[in-house]
Amino acid sequence: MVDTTNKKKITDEELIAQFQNGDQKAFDIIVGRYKDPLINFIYHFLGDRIDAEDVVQETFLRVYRNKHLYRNIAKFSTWIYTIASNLAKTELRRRRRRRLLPLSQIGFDDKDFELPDEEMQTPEGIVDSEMHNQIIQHEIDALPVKFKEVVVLRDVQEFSYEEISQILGIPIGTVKSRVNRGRLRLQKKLKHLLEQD
Amino acid sequence: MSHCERFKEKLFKFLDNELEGAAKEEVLQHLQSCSACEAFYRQMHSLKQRLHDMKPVKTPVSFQIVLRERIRREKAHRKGIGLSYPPVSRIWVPAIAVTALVLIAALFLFRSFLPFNLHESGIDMSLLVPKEGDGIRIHYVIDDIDASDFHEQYPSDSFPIALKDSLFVDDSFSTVHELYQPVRF
Repeated sequence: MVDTTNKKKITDEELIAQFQNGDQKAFDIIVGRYKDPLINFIYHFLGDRIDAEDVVQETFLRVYRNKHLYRNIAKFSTWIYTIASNLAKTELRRRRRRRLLPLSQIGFDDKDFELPDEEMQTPEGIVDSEMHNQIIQHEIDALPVKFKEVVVLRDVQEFSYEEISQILGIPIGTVKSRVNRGRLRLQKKLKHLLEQD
Repeated sequence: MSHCERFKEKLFKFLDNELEGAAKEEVLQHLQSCSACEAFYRQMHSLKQRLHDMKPVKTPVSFQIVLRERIRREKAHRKGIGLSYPPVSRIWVPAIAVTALVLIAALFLFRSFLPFNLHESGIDMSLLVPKEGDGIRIHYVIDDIDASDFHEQYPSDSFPIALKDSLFVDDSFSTVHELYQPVRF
């Protein structure tokens, strides 16, 4: 059983080991620890709140079902982010196959598809940080997947290059190259915003 | 490629705090002397900061409740599957059908190489033709045919015709095939 009175923080690897031995409380703690970081990552990756919640739910379901597959070779965080990342990419592929609705058919009260109107797009009009975030998120959404995933993991989630390399299963050099190229693309698109700083 | 283009690689490392000592100093000096690179660096630094400062998204209050419910349903579904899985009609019937077909096909092919067994041939026995050879007296059972017609087709020196009520000498018709070509009509 997980000892909740012990002040020393129990590691993720210890928690998953206890869950593998049948301790349900350990799984609840894992969920508590990772639900917000994961949804933050997935939301910035997919750009959609509802889809992000579904993906994170499915991530935890996969952890629940396949707990026996985790081996203490890699960090638990690497494992769970790998699952989440793969599910997010699956969702993106699924979206591409779906018939896309033109934005004009989506109500403007739909928060996920809200875009700033033309007046607000000029540098002089942009003062709201929430609006800035929406603009930045819009440009992140427009990035190719291979750049988007590394930029979000590196600059939003602040993973190290080594961790990103393990999560995505690509060499560190490739991670660094894609991060830089992703940043360059964002810099070009967001120049008017960045020049204000 | 311009000097500044080549410098971008180092700028990215500088941005990620991966440079130390002389390499770091070199970048700092370049930034002080090159306004274009300095502007570029400022924008990249600003971008990195804005990405870092993006308002974090959190799960709704109901998230864990929903997750627990999904796990509970999945457990119940799996348990249900355990009781009635696999459905007989879906797996076993086709499996049995396929196995039966394979066996029948195999038997059919096998039988074609088997000696012709007159006992099971279903041929109507109305004429017995004894054949002697190597000390073995064997009777052929031929389909309903007139003796004279049979004699026309099979000359008496190869297939001597016996009386209709001749007795079987050898019931093991497999030996018939080994020694003689079965007669079919």
